[in-house]
Amino acid sequence: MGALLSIKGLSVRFGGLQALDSVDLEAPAGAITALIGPNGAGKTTAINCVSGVVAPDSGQVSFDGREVLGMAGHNLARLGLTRTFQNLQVFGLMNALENVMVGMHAASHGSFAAAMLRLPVLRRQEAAIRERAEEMLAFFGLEKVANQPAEELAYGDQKRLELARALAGRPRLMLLDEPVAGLNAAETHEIGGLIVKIKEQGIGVVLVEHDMGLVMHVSDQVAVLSGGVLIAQGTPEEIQQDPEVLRTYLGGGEEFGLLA
Amino acid sequence: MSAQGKKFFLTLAALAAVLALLPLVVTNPYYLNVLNVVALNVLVVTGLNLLIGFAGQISLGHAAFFGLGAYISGILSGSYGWEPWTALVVAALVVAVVAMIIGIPTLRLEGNYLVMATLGFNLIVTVLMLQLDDITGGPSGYTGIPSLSFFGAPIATDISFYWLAWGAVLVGLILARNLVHSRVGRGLKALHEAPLAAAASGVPIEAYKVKVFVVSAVYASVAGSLYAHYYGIVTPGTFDIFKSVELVTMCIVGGMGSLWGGLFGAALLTPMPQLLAVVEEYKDIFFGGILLVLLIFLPQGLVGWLEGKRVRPGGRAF
Repeated sequence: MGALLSIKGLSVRFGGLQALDSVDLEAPAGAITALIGPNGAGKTTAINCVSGVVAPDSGQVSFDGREVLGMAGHNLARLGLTRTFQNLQVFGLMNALENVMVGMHAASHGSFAAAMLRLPVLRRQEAAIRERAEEMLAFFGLEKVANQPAEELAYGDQKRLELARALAGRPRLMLLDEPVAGLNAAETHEIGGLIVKIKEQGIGVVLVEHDMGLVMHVSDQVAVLSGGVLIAQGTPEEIQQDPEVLRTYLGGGEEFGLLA
Repeated sequence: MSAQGKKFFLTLAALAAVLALLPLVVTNPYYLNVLNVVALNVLVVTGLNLLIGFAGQISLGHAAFFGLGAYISGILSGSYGWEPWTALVVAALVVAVVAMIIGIPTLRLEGNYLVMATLGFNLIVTVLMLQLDDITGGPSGYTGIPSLSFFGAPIATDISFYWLAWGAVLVGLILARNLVHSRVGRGLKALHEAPLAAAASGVPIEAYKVKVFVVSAVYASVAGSLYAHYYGIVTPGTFDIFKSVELVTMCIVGGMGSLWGGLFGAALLTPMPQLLAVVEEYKDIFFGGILLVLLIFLPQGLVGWLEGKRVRPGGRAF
């Protein structure tokens, strides 16, 4: 019985830059695994490898015991692995509700032909998709903007819209790439609460984040990357006292003080 | 039914009513003929709009699919004695396979390689129509194509073809509308706007691009077959790359990503060269010029502009 997501010996080189160097990481279901590190440490690259956006040079990624490296993004979504993006990737001209309905794509069925003929089974499914999307909008406090084009939403709402879309298809693991980047303290606190609620549904969460307050507050375990190398792994308490982390990454640890 | 659905079917019912009454006013066969050509263009543009306006992929080869539908259906029924309806269906299947063969390698690539591939494809198809004169009749065209029939009655007159062609348009619009308002349609819009996020949501982007390309090619093929059986003769010049530009212009004039826009664009532009003798001579310049002006000043198309909407998913296609 291994972890839901298991990464072994993951290495990626971009030209002369060793973005990831033999990284091992495990993320269990129903827990928040944070991945932290300075800019350029390879956090997003790691997420991109797992989600099929970047092809690593070597390593293994298994999800629920199945080797998933090289699998296309849409197949990963079908297996129950979804993600959000650091630089927003909302469908700007579609409204918020439709954005979340797209998030149900992997969890629904229906060919081009069935869609063109509007078969009854599709109509029933459409109602279910809409209902789930509305539920998601309510969960993330977006019901008031349901009919607005996504790109007209406030930045914080777009961030939450990405979370709603990634959660809509009832995934088993979510990769969240800086979900609170650019948000104020109140919004950050609110999203932190939502991420914990997602975890409490039994969903595994991999959280890439710079906001140490959030990371130390919500995470069950923390992994620290620096220059593509995993330098520490442990509970938030252990990480806050790890001398190597304090030295190489935080340069003294005063940032940790902010979270209390 | 959703409010959106009600609005669509009310508009469709209004269109059907106008179409039903139009022949009472328009009795001149010349004008009926123009309306019939409009119908065929609307059919092609509706399919093209799914590709360009929703999935954001541009084809400059749809005249070739239109032409293949016309020639295959015409030759199978004319030279080999096939029942015209069977020939139409077989032509559509052949075109679907051809579109898949073009689409699979080109749509995998990032960027608009489809434009180049379809442009080249259209040129090749035109050359084949001209050169394979044992089969196609060469530059002077292929003649002697039988009419379609309806329960034994031939659809040979302008007015009978009017009912058939516009009936096909209504069916084509309903099918396209259903597609757009389904999970598949949302997937198409999504892959155009943010492909990474679409894939991460479960949209198989490569497969969807190929499939929507095939669907749009089949729309063109069916329109082409109808054309062939209506006129009884097909010539290579009807299906050259300038016709492809014309079709894309109609799509963009009306408004990409709006099915009514496609109808509007085709209805507006089809009769122009025929009604304005001055334009006839410079038809290709006329369409090229319209395309240029629109893309610069009115990228959302006329319908989009009238509705005061912003650019729809697809308005950024060029």
